[in-house]
Amino acid sequence: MVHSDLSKAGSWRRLTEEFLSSPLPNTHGTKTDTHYSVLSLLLFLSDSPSNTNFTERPRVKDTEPEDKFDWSKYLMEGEEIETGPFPDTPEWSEDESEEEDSQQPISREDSGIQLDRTPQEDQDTNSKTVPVAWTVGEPDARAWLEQHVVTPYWVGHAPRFPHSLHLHSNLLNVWDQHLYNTDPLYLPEEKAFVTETQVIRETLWLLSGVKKHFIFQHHDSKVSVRSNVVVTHLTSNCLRSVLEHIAVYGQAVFRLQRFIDEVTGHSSEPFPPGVGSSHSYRKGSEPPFRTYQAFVWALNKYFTSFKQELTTIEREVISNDETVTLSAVLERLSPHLAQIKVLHKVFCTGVAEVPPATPNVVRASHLLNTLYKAIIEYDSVGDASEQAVALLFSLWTETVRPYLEIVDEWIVHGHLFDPAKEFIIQRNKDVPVNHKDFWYATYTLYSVSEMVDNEEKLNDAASGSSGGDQGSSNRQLTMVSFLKPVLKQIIMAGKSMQLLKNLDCREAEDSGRSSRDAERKSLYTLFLESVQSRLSSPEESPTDKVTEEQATTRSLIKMQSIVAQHLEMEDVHDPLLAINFARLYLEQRDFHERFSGGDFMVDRSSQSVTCQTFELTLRCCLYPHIERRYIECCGNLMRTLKKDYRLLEYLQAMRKYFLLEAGDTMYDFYTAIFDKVQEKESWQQPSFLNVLLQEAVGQRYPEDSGRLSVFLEPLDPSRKKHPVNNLEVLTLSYKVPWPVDIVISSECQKIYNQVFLLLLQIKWAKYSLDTLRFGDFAEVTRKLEGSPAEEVKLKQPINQQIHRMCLLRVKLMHFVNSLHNYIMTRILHSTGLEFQNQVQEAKDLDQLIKIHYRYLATIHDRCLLREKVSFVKEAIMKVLNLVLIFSDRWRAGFGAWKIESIDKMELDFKNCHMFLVTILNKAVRRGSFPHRE
Amino acid sequence: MASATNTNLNAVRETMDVLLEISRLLNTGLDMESLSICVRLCEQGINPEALSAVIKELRKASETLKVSENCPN
Repeated sequence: MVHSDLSKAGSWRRLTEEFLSSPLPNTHGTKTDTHYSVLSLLLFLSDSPSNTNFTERPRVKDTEPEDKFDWSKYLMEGEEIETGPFPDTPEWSEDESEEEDSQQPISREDSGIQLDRTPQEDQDTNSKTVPVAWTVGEPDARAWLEQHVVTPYWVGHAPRFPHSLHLHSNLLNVWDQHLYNTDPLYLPEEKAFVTETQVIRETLWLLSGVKKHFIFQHHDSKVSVRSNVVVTHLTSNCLRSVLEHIAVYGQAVFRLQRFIDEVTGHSSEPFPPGVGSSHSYRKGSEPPFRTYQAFVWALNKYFTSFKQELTTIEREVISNDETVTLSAVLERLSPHLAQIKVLHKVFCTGVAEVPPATPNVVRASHLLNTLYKAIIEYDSVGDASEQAVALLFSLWTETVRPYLEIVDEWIVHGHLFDPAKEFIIQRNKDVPVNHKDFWYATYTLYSVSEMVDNEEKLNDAASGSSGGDQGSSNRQLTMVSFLKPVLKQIIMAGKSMQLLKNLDCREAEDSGRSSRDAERKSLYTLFLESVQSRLSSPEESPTDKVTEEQATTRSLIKMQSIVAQHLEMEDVHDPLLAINFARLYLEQRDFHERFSGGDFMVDRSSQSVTCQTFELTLRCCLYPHIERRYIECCGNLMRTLKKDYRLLEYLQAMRKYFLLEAGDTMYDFYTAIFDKVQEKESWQQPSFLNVLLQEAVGQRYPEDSGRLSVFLEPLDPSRKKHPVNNLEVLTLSYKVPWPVDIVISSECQKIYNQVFLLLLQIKWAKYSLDTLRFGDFAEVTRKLEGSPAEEVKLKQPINQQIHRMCLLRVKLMHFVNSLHNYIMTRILHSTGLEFQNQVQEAKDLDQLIKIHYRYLATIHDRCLLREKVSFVKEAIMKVLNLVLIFSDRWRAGFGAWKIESIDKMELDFKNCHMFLVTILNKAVRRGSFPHRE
Repeated sequence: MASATNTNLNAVRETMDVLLEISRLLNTGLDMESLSICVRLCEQGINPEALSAVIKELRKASETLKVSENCPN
């Protein structure tokens, strides 16, 4: 190296010695590795030192000036503070983890090797701003921090930091210059200069929820970019557009964060008491709104992971291992930002736009519906939004949890526990279980239509489920759409459970059932497990699943080949179409082989919810459990009712007494009444009637005699003209115990009663005809035969009259008998059989009630009691009336009537008969009475 | 405290001077500013061989730039 240049060698040796023994700026001690590395660097860079002339320059040691002038203070008095920024320093934020950084020595930021010219002042600042190894904790720490840590760029007239004059770094000035030159009206404005690192850090702070910034400003939850913030290497407009783009996300983050705080009660802003009720979702005395809380919990989880990412980025920025630019940071965050956008959109639609006075029911269902719709929407986009779908799905599963828990509690224990009134079905507290209106009035179903935005209370849409839905089917029902397919079953199961619970209270508890409750998995757990197993890898699934998959695979491949053939056949050479079809089918096959879900208690972000499967997932994972429970508990209820409460026996009893199936018993009863009527004695006394009834019934069915009773109602005077209507004062009633009276309600009894009256009238007519005796006329004929010849002329008409009476009587009897038979056998009996069959098959209580009603309606119709065919009934009544009059006349004796009355009666009868025949023939031809042949 | 700082400053300044002399002796072509930057880099732990390679590359690149700038003229 030396090439025998002694002077150089000597200088070299001396200088290196001196260097090695003198301190370096940031290193402690002498002759450290750093020293040697510096030396080795210089050696590497050396460029034929022997060829150059070198004379050592004498160096003059600077002596310390005596007056100890504080240069730094003096220099900083003026406005021009030439200290550069030291961003690589302790955080201003409240992070405690960063506190250790403040204890470390500071180093100056290096913006890379600059080979271009820098302002001359840099030389001076170099020497002045050699950093000091201080630790924070000095009494004037703040002042020191301000001087050495970060240039307080947020203060007005902040000092300018030096930067290079290279074109790329100095774009702002160049552009300004250009504008100044071209636009005569251009005035350079006051600007605040920041570095890109500062911008990055402010961005990160903004996205993690810090509220006070310099660059980003807050006004009423809107985030805006402070004007006049510039970096030197971008024009102000460019920077502004980038920052505004970020500000939007910052705003979304803030809104979501504020919502989270509100719901969890950590509101940092004090609410005035009056305003609080409309803004806060939770007051001290109100029960917690669980759906919102679940939603917030899910959001929180997402934000935690997001903030972790932000912290990682920030650490990288601090450690400065590699260059971090704003666009790189944005690129890295872009999936998160997209997710935040999705969340914000869902939040705005689902929560923020709901007017403050809406009840929790509507709020909860609106939120769930929004999430559901969003998932479907993103699902249909396809693979591009897989992340969004996964996020939304995890959000949805979390938010739906309180709902499912309420449902679970209700359909398993019969207890609807919903303190915040967020479930769509509300328990009507005024109606206790024993009330007769229990089945109908206990639960109210809320439905809100979005178009009109009214609230409709549908009273128990379950039993009138057809009625209720029809009423509002022309509007769009938006209640909790994911539960709609199983809503009926849930309602039925819940009500049945409640009923069962109350029924069971009276009987011995099945201890076995309660012990199993602890091991029972809740609906939510079952749901998650099903989702889990659907998305997990097939190796874990049992063999039958594998074979099922193979079958599915085979069928899918077959489908695929069929489709391919079709495409070829039709000369459709569209490769894209073919590819898409292939993808569609093969993806379905691969679907089962996708990622595992992990521990479902922790990781609910199932990543493999792909297209077309969300509804499928629901259908396979949620609905079967609900349906199973429904079948189980409704079956339970039916069994209990039939077995323990003898429902069938009661139905039978109704038919026995009201429909006169217990012929002999009722015969005793009504014949006694008819006898009394014939003897023209007063029979309309309740005590008499009741005693009669008890006697009749008590012979065969003693247990029912206590339940039956007869009531008398005053009759309309206009109807009293026809003796046949005299019977209509009767009302039979049968006391049915609870819970059977849910099925056999008082309305049912009324219908039963109407049929009973009709039957009674027919029976009366029949009875009165039956008891007429031909023998009554025997005397008359004998008398006639014994009379003298001159009265023979009168004999003929008398015989004729008798004959005619007999004929009439026979005709009337035929009519009444056929009517009677028809009703008793064709209608009552056959309908009764049908009804019994249906009752056997009834699966739940609602169905049973419906069947019963239908049965009653059928009977009512067929007995011609309907309004529309009342003229037919009137005609029949007329005939029956005629019968009664006839039998009265007959009994009154031969001389009580005249020929004209016979004529009239015959005429009347013929008319009625013709009338009925034509009407019924027409009806039969029309087909409206298929049973009437 | 301030005097200690100043002494320290002075010492460091001297070191830099010495280093400048050494680099002049070795004909490295570094000026004071570049030298100080290199020192700081070495303190941070950068490999000196690598750093020297980089510097040589940059010099070559700037040379070619200057040549291409001068040529069209």
